[in-house]
Amino acid sequence: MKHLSLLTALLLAHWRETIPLVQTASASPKPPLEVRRDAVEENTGEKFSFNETLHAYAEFVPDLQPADVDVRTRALADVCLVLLNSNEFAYVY
Amino acid sequence: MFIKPYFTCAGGRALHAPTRRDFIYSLGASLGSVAFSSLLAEEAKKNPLAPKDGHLPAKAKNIIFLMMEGGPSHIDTFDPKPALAKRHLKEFVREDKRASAMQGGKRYYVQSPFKFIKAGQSGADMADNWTHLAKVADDLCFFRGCTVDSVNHPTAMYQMNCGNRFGGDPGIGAWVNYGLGSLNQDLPGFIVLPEVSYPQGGAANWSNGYLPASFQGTPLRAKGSPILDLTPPPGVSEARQRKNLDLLAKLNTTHAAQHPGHDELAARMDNYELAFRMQMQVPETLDLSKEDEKIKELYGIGNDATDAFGRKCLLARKLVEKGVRFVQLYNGSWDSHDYIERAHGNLVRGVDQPIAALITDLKQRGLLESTLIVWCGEFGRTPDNGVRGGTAYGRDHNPNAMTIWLAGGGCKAGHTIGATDELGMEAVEGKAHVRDFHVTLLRLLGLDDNKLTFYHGGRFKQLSQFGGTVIQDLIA
Repeated sequence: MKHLSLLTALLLAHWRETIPLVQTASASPKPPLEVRRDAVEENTGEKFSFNETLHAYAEFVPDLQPADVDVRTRALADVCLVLLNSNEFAYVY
Repeated sequence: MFIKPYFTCAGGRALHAPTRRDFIYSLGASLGSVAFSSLLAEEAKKNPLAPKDGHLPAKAKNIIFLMMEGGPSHIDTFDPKPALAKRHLKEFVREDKRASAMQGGKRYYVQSPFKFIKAGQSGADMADNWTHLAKVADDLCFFRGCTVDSVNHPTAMYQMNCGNRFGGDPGIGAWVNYGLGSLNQDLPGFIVLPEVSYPQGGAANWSNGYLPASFQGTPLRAKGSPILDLTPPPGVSEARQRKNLDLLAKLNTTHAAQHPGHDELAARMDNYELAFRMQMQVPETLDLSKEDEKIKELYGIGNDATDAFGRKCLLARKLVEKGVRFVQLYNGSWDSHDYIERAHGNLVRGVDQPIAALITDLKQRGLLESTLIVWCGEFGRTPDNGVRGGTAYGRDHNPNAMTIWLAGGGCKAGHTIGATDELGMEAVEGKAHVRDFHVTLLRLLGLDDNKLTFYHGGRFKQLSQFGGTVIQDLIA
């Protein structure tokens, strides 16, 4: 329990200190609907290219992006990202 | 670490029960375990990529490994076989139990469509379409004696790149960084420049295998941004990244202190910091736009045929200049079963000028002496072809004969070592297994294969698998 409360305090402090650093956020780019592929013809060694349609993105609805939320939520997202990347995350249960 | 950890990092749950071998081994280790733990703790604090001395005096510091994936034909590049002219299209039946299905049955001989020249003062044999490489022929050391064990691409690739046909072993670049460390702490020590499509066998060709994860090869993408998300999105400042990384390091350090010997966590922590430093170092290194126009022209950058490999070669020079220990470039596929004149003709046109430029450029910068260049495929090709829906002039896979060449880095330039038979089917002089070739590469870097070992799976493992012999004829 002591470990958990120390961890919580650390994360809350980080959240508060991060808010001034996340004031700006640009809109995220939309995923591509098509991609250009390059390959080499085995028999002749000649290069060729073709377009591949990325069907999965045709009806893709993205999650909320940083630019869509306020600074407190953006700062909280940073805290969560750090936590999810840490091995310590395994102990938060 | 000798004793296998039995518990996960999360909650101390048993992953698996200790085996008899683990138990016996831990008994043996227990006597010295107190002192040994202390040594390991000290070792863990050290940077695994810090530069280290080799076992022996070195002739080279870096390697640029030009991997011609698919198996270039020695008969159509650097090992002329005029005797094939008399047998051209002559049919025969081969009963070869060792070879793959593609080498048995009804076959016909194929003479080379390429003319050969004697290049340089050394009179090196080269097909005359290597017009640029011929100008640096005296810097090359040709090796015609190498043999491998596999007739199939992925397994042969694994053997050439990792020493073991089955995959899962560390790549040569991983072994070299394990033995010598990296000369630049802001870049990976083992960088791979693959084609857009990965080679047969995939990323396992540059794996760290059972070595710590810090030694794995880092591939740079062939098209578009070399490293995805290298540049932070607008609005994400360096200060914000640093702050988040500091918190992450704090959490992971606490965790690591409670769970020593967690090699993957240590590597991940190193990689977070390396990625941060790379954001500063890599864009500058990868940016070829600021290179002198004459240098870009030398490498064939801007020319359709040579642009892609020219960029890789110029980048390899820049990476070596920055202290990257091992750079591997892929080109292919050289798997010319049919239409060899067109296929090998196009492939040679794509790499000839860039490779010659790389040698010339390294030489003029005084880097060729300390940089060993290796050119090879995973095997050579046969002097004949199988009948598959008609006769198209090509060649099958051949593990018994191939040509490898070296340049710089203490190799015996201007010499041709070993020989194949009159048709190019088998190596007959200076014959050496690929494990001997690997041992020789390590030797040129000052590493002794028998000392460059790692304990894994109950025994000490090494690049050559179970030892090899240095090919002294390849060393100046």
